[in-house]
Amino acid sequence: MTITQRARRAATARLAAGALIAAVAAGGAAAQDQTAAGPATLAQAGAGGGPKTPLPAPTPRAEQPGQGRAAQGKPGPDSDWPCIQPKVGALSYGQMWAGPPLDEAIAKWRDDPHVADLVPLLVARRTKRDEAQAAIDRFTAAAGPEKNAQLTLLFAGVFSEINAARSAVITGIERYARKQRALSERIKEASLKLAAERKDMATQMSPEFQKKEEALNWDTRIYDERAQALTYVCESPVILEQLAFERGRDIQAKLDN
Amino acid sequence: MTASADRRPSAPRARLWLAGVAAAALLGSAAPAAAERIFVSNERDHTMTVIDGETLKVIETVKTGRRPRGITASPDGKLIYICASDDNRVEVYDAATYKMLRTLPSGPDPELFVLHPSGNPLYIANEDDNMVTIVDTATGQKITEVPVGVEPEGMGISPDGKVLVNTSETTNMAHFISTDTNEIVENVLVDSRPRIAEFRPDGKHVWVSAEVGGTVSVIDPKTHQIVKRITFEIPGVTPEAIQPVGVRITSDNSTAFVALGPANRVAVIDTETFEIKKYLLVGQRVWQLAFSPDQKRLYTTNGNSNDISIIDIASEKVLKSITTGRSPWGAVAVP
Repeated sequence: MTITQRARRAATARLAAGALIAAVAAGGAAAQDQTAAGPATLAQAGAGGGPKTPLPAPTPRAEQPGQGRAAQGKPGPDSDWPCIQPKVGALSYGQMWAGPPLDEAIAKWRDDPHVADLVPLLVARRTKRDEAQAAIDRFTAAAGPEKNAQLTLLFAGVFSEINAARSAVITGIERYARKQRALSERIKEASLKLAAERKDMATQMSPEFQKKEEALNWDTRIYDERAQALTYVCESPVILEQLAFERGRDIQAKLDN
Repeated sequence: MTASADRRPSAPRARLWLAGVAAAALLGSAAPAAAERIFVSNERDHTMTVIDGETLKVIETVKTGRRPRGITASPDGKLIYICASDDNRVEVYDAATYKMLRTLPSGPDPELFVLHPSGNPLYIANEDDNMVTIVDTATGQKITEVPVGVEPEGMGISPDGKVLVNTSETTNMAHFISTDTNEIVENVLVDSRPRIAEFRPDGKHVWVSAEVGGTVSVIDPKTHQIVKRITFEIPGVTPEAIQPVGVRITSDNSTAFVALGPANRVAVIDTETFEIKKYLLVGQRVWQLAFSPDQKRLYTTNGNSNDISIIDIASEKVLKSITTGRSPWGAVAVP
């Protein structure tokens, strides 16, 4: 590199640093999330004029949606949550209901015997969609002029029940994860102990040692099988959310606007 | 019986009539298919669903490369381009026969792209290596790469084709790139995880959605200033479920539609006052949006309910939903 080239690079770098400070100052008001801005790359700061706001140095990928809120004052990522799917504690009815507000209906739906009768059928995962639609049709016909109010109560019941079942599933998944963690600790300790005891052939052949080894093998197998089952278990909250949405769609289709 | 028998055409007449029907059918099939078709990329099924725009029925499911996401059409509607993200390539399909014609080099993990208004070149965001790849659609050759921020995704181009805007999800910037020099002219900080950049058809503003930030920044492409940050509030929906992604603006520049992810709603926004007129309930995890060619309808891809919803633009109402493959990601409609 010639002296001129070096001087030019140094000048460009100074220019970039200046622009960066200005950019960070200006961006502060507009941007909610500031990225850790490093020195601009020469490629960006070079070439006559270039952008006023340079590119910051590359940073690791940001958190995916569902995790990012933790950085904004919400509880941090839950170490007991083992699923790839982000943990969403409770559903909100507005995600599946465009009708009137539900707060009152959520408190009162159990008082209506017709609603209380139909809700268990609609929230059962085994109920097929066409069966559910037929049941909603009959319910709508029986409700007569009261149908909008009745359908609102019906959805309030379906939503509350599925949400409660979903919350129980989430608690279960966390308990499952805690048990798995305890089991993995136990496996780790047992294998370290066995490795230390495995001094000679005589010890390894002793019935006592073999019993311990077998117990370890069983624990490992249980752990592996549970880890595999986790993929399905983690789908449950999503399946329940889909069910609530589908029932909501079918109930709303019967509402008069 | 006799009365109806009398009305029947005589045998020779019936033959003539049948021949006429057959000729009409032949002529009909010889003419190019005029009906609108909607193409939907299904991220989890590695397929593309083809829907007839008139009957609104699925007419074909086409196997694509792995993890198809971004989807667009050539300006004449004859070609469909798809980002096959896990196969690191762009696939080009014939919109009439649904056959794959060729593949284009895309760089690693192509997620979204935009065509120059003339149909060439194609600008591709490479999520994994912080680049925008520019490909000549005629020769199939890579022209160049433009380094941008981390995790590039959204791609928008000005109506005159002079300004390309790419968003980077981790750097949280909208990068304004000159298509003459293929260099960045300015970087604009926006809210967290910007997903989509969409120009108004008159080029006055570019709208950038921020998925985690929960906002849309409206940027003046001349001054690179944010003229408005739109926020959303829906009764009965927790704020963290509001994740703006897809954006489309009507050809008369009057109305913008913004898909709000797991809020399952599409916001209808006045582009002059930035007032939100409605939140339409569509399907679960509404992701991308596409207009019908006549702009009478808007299609939304709903990734978790595995369907698309059809919005009637004049009445601002959701007409119906159509089941697609698993995790529908993007959509495009051609005449």
